[in-house]
Amino acid sequence: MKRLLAAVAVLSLATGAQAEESPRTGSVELRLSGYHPNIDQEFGGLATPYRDSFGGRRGWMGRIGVSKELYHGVGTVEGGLSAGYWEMYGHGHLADGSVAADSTALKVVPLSLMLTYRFDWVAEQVGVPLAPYVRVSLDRMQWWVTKGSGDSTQSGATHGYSFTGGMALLLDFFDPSLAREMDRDTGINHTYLFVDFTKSHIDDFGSKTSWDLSDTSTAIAGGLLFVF
Amino acid sequence: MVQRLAALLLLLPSLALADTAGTVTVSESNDSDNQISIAECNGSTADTLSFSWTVSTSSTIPSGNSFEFRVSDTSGCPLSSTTTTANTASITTIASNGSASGTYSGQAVSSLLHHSGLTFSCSVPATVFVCALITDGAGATASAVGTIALDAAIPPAPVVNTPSPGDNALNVSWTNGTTVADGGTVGTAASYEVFVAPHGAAFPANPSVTVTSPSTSVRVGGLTNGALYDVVVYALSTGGNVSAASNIVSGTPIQVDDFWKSYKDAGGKETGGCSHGSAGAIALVLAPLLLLARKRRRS
Repeated sequence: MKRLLAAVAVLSLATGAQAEESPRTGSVELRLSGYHPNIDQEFGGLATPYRDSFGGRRGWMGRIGVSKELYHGVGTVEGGLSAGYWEMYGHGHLADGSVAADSTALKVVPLSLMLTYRFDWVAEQVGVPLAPYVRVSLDRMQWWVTKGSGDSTQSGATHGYSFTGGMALLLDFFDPSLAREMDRDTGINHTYLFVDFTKSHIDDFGSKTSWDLSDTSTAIAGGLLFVF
Repeated sequence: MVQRLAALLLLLPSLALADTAGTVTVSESNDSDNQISIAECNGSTADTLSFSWTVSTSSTIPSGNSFEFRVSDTSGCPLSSTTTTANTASITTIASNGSASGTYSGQAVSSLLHHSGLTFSCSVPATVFVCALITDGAGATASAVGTIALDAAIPPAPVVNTPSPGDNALNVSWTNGTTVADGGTVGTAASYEVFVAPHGAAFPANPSVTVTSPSTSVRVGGLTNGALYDVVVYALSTGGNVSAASNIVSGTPIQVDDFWKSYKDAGGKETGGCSHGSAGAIALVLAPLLLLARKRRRS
């Protein structure tokens, strides 16, 4: 019991630097994930035009998000926006079904409105450098298809929503003095390395005449989060 | 002794400055690659060189002194002497009127390189040195130097593969050849010019596409599906020396289904545009307004 009290006392001292933090207003995150749209599910296995053109590869999707802090107490609530880019190149087909030399591409700009709750109280007050978080997003996938010349042959947008759960590792924990120095120099209070899982439903809320741009599987993403 | 040493120390910087040359900037009338091609060298392609310079000197230039403009195959444009062997020609003198800067233009490449005293050959790569020299107020020679390359290397003729048909296009690829049919030194291709013409017709004067090395393939668009076309490729060196013609190949553009066409042919129901998902769009628009309203209530 004495040891536990001593540990708490040490942790309290360690977190005494909180008072020196610069004011907090929000966060910026950079994330990278794989993505494979579920377009072929529309055909119930009878046709696979997406797979025929692009194969089964998952392309890399990069995103940048900016959030405003709405609440900070027992955890943090943030509302924000994110935008990104994804593209997949494949080959067109000739009339006989054979693969042509001409390329074709599907390009997507994902836009999201995000509401995030991050339980960072333990990381910031107790000293355990882990902050679990959950997020719900309204998503818009702006997409366009290009042919061999690079010209767009069709474009559109598909809406939906997604749920995310993940864990953020507070990097300040490993070098608190450097973290405080960065706060003084740049205003970045905390830096997190995160990994999360997202289940998306991007099909115009069940529309029968829209692409299903949900990921074919639960997407794993990783990145950096800067709280400032 | 101390006085002599001090005098020597004072003299050293001026000696160093006298050795420091300014720069002669060379420009061409035909192109801006700062390379003399074989055609420019032998005069079959007109190219006039212009020079501008500022000599480096710590002294003033007497108003009566003139620049001597030289061309040479040796750095510094030295005149041949008993100890120096250089092919240098004194081209002209230009009044300085007291300025450290000067210009000289109007000299065609073909006549400049074949000036008496010079031994440049249009089939041998070389560096052409140009110098402007003048005697400054301290009696030292102030100079400016520059160079332009004589590119005498001809790339080998490319070997073109049979084009792959594209939608209103041909996908053309080639490899570098190994021989030079029309003389000169074997050079490396810096770019390629691809010419396309209807089968049997003469190739146009201007290339359909120019490709920068090391890329050796290109998609030539703007063609008609179902029509037969001939393709020929030329390689160009950095200075613009053109290789012999490649082998001529033929191909026919055909319709290619892109992903959207494949999707629709498979019976896909997406129609594109933003006509669907209005609920999502409305929610996306309303959410920032809700956040803004919340902020205003706080303030």
